Amino acid sequence: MATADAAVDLKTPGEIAKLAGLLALVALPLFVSEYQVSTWSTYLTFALLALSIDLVWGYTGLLTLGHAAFFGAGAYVTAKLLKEVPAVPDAAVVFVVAPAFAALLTLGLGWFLFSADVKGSYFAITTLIVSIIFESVAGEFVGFLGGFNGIYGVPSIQVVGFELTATMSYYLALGILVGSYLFLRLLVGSAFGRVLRGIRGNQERTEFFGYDTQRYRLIVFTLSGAMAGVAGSMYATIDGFVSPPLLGFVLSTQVVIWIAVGGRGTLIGAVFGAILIQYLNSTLSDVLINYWEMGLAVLFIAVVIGAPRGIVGLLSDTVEGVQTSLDSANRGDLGAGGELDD
Amino acid sequence: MTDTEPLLRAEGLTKRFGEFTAVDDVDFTVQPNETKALIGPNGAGKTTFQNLLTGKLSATEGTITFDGEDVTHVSPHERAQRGIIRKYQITSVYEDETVLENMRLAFRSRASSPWELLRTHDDSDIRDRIEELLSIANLHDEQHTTVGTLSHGEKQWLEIVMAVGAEPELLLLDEPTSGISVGETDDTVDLIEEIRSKENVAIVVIEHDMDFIRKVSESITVLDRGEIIASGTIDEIENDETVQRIYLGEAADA
Repeated sequence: MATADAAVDLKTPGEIAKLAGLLALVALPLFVSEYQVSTWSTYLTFALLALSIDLVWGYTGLLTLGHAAFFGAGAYVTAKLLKEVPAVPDAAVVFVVAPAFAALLTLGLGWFLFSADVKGSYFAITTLIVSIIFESVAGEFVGFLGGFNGIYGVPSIQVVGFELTATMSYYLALGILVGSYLFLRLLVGSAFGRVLRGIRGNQERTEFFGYDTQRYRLIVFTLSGAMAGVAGSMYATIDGFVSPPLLGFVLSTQVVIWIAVGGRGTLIGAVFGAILIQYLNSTLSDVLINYWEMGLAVLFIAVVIGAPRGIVGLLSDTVEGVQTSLDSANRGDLGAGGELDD
Repeated sequence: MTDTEPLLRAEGLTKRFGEFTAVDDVDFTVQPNETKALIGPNGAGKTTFQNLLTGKLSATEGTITFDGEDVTHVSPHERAQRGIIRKYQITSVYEDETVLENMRLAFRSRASSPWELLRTHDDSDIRDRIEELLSIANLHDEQHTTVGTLSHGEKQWLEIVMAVGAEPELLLLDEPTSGISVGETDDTVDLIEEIRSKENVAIVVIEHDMDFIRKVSESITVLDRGEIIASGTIDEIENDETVQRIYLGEAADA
């Protein structure tokens, strides 16, 4: 049953578009310089951050404006360990220590916020403040965290003494992104994902059907924190430089805008929006200079008003509309054919 | 009345908000599979009483025993897990989801941990039961309709069958006919009759509409200013002078 569904799924325009996008990303290093490969690698790590926020905001309805704090925490812990504690294997830092550290932060914060049932704009403001605090604290610790100058010269990931090239790091980042996307797709498609949408749609109703919504929110927030931690960790190894803005509210809120433009609560919209806007930012900001910021603001407003479900929502509605009209046209043909046969 | 242990027993249940006593020393029992009605004028404390039973509010004094266990300090979701399920006065469903998704969410609510639900991708085990309940709510053909587009009455019925799908032992229906037409009210009566005959469930209906209550319940408790002032059969209640003066009289005047 499930395999049949998956097989049908692959034929839909949406799935074909996703596969085409993936193929383009796989082929990308063949066509761009090594420097650009690194830039695209950072796009992918921010796309992973966007994905983690979409789980919390898009599916569970908790607008987090502070997720960069957990991304930055993953980046900082990675920078410190890779530079100063070579005894810990790099892979363990990226895949165990960074996500565990970020998950602990979200678990603690989540426990505090959800047991007090902080939600809505209060949740958004509290997470925003956490992000601001993290950024200031990192700026204050000049000796330990490098203060406002941050930490330079974070090495690339080494696996058994062999340092990953920029292209290898790119494919690792792409692999993590695709793997996380597929995992979250399974999660939101399960009965668990339905409970998340229930919390988003009507938390009290969900609670009074017998779901421990506090526990669900905590699980999702913690999982999302771990993903943000891996994303930040990968970012540190790719860019080689971490600084307080990685923890701050500007990044936190920017990513939310990317998701809104791409399409909230669709997973793919978060990835698409993150990559699209970062790409446009790097290409257009040189040409348009300050006008780019205005252009982005206009795009954001246009999407919020004209396509509340983002670009992905707009596209899927359009495709659905075309399919419906095609289907009805086909039905008309079949009906006519049936009459002739009779 | 039987000698068996009641399903629900509230003893001395009291809720005060500062100086104001919304529910005052109420004793109330519900037997398994019994249908009871709770009536009273606006502000009598009916909804507050229900909020105490479901755990939305915590009692100032008194105890609630359910299935032989003290649940006075048990959390709302845990009470629902034990079988106390409510339908809200203001319809409370998932407006952005389809009828089918609404039903599935309610159906998975009992005895499933988050980890079990993570592994659940197939809903064929609950399909027949969902279709059966949607049929008695006249919503069978609306499975793929987004709930926000349903009529008010249809949403009421959906929430009732969702609550039944959550496998309650005690179903609390807060004004199941509020804001719906006369024709739809008759359908609601039929729906509750179906549920009473087919399901193993005790029901407490909170209502204003005496004609409706006459059709669905034999036993009535009257609440006024937080206190129980009478309980008995519908004829006893209608002939009770205090009730006539306080409640039915007011309704007749209005």
